[in-house]
Amino acid sequence: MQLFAIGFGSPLLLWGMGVAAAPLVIHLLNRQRYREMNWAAMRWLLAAAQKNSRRIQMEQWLLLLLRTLLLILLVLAMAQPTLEQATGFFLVDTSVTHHILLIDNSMSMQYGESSASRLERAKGIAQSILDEAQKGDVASVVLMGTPTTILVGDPSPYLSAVGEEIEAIRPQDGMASIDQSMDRVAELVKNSRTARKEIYLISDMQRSNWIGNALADDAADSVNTVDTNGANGAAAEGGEGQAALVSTNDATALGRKLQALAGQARFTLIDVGGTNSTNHAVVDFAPVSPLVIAGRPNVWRGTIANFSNEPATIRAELLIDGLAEAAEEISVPAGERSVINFSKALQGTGDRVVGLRIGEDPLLVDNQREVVASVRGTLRVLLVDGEASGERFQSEVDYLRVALSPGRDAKGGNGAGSGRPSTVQTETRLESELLDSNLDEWDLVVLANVGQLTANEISLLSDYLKRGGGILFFVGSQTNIEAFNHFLYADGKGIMPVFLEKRIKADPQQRFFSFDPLNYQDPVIEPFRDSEQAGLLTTKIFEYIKAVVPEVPGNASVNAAKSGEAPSAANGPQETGSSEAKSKDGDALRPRVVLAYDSGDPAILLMDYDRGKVGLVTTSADLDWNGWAVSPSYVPVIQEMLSALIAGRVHRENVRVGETISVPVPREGFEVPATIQPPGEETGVAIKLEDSEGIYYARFSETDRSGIYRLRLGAPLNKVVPVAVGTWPRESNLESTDEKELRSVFPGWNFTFLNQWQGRATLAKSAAPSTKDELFRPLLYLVLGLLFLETYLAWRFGNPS
Amino acid sequence: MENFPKYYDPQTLAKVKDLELKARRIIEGFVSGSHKSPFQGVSVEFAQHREYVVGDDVRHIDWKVFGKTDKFYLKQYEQETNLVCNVLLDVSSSMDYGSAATTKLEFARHLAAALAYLVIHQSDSIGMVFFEDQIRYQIPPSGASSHLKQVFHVLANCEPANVPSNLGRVLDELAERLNKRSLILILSDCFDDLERILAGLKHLRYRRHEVVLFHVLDRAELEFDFQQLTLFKGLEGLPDMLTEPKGLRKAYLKEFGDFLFELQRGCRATNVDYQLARTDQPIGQYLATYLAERGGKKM
Repeated sequence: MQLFAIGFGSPLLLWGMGVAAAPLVIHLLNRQRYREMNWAAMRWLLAAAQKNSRRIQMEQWLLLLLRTLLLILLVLAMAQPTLEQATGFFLVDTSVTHHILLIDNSMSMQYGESSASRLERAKGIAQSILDEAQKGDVASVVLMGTPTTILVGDPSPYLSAVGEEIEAIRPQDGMASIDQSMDRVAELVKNSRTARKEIYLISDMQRSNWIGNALADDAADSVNTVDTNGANGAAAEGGEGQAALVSTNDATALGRKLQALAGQARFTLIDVGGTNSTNHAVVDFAPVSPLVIAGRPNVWRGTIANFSNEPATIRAELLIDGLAEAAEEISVPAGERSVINFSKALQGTGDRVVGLRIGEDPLLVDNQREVVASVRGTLRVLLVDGEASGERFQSEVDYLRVALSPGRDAKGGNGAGSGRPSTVQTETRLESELLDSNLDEWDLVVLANVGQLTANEISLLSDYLKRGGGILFFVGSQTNIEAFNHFLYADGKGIMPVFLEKRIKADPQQRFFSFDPLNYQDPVIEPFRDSEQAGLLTTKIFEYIKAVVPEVPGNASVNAAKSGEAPSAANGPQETGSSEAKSKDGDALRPRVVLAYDSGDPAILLMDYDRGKVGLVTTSADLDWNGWAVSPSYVPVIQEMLSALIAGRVHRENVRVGETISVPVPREGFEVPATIQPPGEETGVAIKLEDSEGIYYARFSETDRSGIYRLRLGAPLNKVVPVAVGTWPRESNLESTDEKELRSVFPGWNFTFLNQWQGRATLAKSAAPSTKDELFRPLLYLVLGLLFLETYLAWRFGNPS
Repeated sequence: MENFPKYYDPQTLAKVKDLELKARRIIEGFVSGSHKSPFQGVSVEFAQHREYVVGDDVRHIDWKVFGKTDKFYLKQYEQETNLVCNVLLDVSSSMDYGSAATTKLEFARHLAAALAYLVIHQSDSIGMVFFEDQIRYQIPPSGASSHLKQVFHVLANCEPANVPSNLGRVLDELAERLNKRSLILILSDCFDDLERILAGLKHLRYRRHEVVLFHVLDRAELEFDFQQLTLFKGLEGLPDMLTEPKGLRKAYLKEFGDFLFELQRGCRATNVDYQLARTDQPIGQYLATYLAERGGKKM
């Protein structure tokens, strides 16, 4: 096996290698040139020589070797040696080039103006670069999609095989990450043993990928939202800010990375974007209400963006399970976005895929966006009665039952209701029956005037919440404040991040408390705005338990609610994105004060606990402490709270490309095999269920395509759970950056910018970093070291004492 | 005895004259007048009494006077020159070595001449023994002035013989041969078997001779500071050796140092007065220093 081949810049100087024989010749000549003398004390000289002859001989040989080696290395260094091929540990190859191909395979690269997409053009250029490579050159390939992947890591000399790998690159529907890509390239450059390295970044140079968040957000803001249906166009881009974009601060760090890389390799940017960047995209789509009831019309709201310089009239279709059910045309001004609403009732229950599709343009993948809706026929609510009574409307939950299912008999039943939601099935159980209940059968569990919960019951409720359940607490005369705080608040670690302080009674003079709607900012109370006749403000409350929300740093929602400001929309029912962004430890987050008393104390609080929702009403559910149960506002508030609290049960998570699909699986599903079938694939990928604090999750992170992923759970569940994976709206904006902007944002970065590839010969030489032969330097250092060593040893051997 | 020519050859006479002059210059220039003779014999002729002072040799106290006077008086005698001194001069081939102009033999010859001059001028007797592996020539001791001429003559004309020395054997032989107690001055490089030398010295001491060993060595033999590649040609039948002397210096100095140490220790053990005589120092100065030291000891 050949380790390396040495080339020489001045091979003629190698003839000087003959001087290596000089020490030997000098030694031999010296042996002929000696002085003679009679020596009387010969016996002692002979004795000394006899005892030390071997050592002296070794010393002489060592010195001779050193002197010879010294001359050989000196001549070698003068001949300017270069290593033409190297696989050694520290050897540096100076004649072979390492081509590092950085190929953008993000969603925008699927844009195809004519026959070929940008990705196909990028592949073609990459092939050209490989074709032009010299014999012996090596190549690596990095894909810039998120997560960034190294397609060919170790520098491969088999360029045709590398070409095949490039040809097999599939587009991703995710975003490109410049920062991650540079990290990968830095690894390759660091591990590369060739001195000459060339980095080719082949991309459509999408501006949002390159420029910091501040600038990118400016660009996003410039695209105004227009609601053609007159609705509030609050179609924000969800959690897009969490994308792998570079922030302004990170731009400096990225600039340093780019600068460092350009110092080690020739950096060439090849823009395959072309001049046309017209694109229309569905950037958002969701039901207005997450609770989708079978047979009941729901509003499906989509946002369509026009990323072009021309206004466009775009035909949009509502798709139910892939079939167009409604269509409408919408005008979208240039560079802006418009909201379109479809009112559509879904028939049947179960998971349904609802999508919005617009007409074809060169980038197809963002023309359609889907969500999975869990269509419910009946909502099941479990009422745990802490003060049961056989008499009509004497039980704690009687009024509640009526409010949840208005039109039904107060003792429940299966008759169809007429309220909103249309069908709520309730069942009343005693407090003692809670442990025997399978809470997964219920969408909401209401605990009204329950005196004290045990640790086992808390554990049951906690697991139920983690699986997305909803719990509503009503306090009452039986509420044990101390037990409540001990088990439910648990010093902030329980399922309820508020604690109860004391019972508050209205003084005889004031006689009662009233509700403070807090400017109707909360979605639950918002419908009462301008509806004074609804009776919310005239409701009389005689007694309540004061709840205190502990001040937690960063608890912005609580502070905002107290000051009457709007709560964060991210907590609303329209929240999209992965639950991973929520609590990871199961801790409750950000209690919302929905309604307060005029004394300033909270009346209704809503909070998240893992995937579930928890509500707390600090007064009684019946007429013991208030007159609310017979107020006209009681039913609508309870209904709105129902909608808010069951969000974890009915809302299906819709993730974005690159994010992890995480679906909680019922406990009995642990033993069954689970597979997930990505869109466009005929077979599923087997996945393992992960146990996280007693809850099993089916997780899948390789979501590189948008569309519907189908999670199949085997027996005994025999269930198919569709999960919609959407594209990143920012990736639909094809606006590109240019050389001038890059040079201003990343000053000091030395690169060549090409709009088209015409071969390596056209690359500016100035952009190539110096690749000087470094081998002569170490040789000279070695010579210097040997010189010192020889001098020292000669002195040491000559002066042994 | 071809190395010891007839007496009155003109060239020989010139050498003798030269040696005599040198010896006189050495003694008169450095020694005479400034030093009391260190070589004192035994006298029987009483001269006078002197009161005892602390430090005087109690052997010379006149106990009869003490019996009469209860005072200590020393008896002092007229000096009688009955000292017999034999100078043993090594003329083996190893003595022919000299790293500078002066060889060891030359140095020893001048030293012997000076000593002879000194002894004769003290009216003592001096004899000479020339030896290599055996006694080659011997001049019997005599105190006559004309004897000095003979001594100088033989000294001036003695040449090194290409024969290894055998000092031990010579000393043994001499110990047997010399019946009368004498002062024996050995001038040699002692390049012989150490044990035999020490045995010979012991033999002489056994015969109650007083022995002084002038160990004549060249500076190069003591320092071995050669720099360049050298072919050392062995004398006295030893082989030649081509070597880089710098590398061997330490080992040689150790070997030679061990030899000197053992020789000196042996001399101390047998009560032989060991004197290292480096050929690179002026003889007069060396002799003056030695005589001063010896005089101090005798006092």
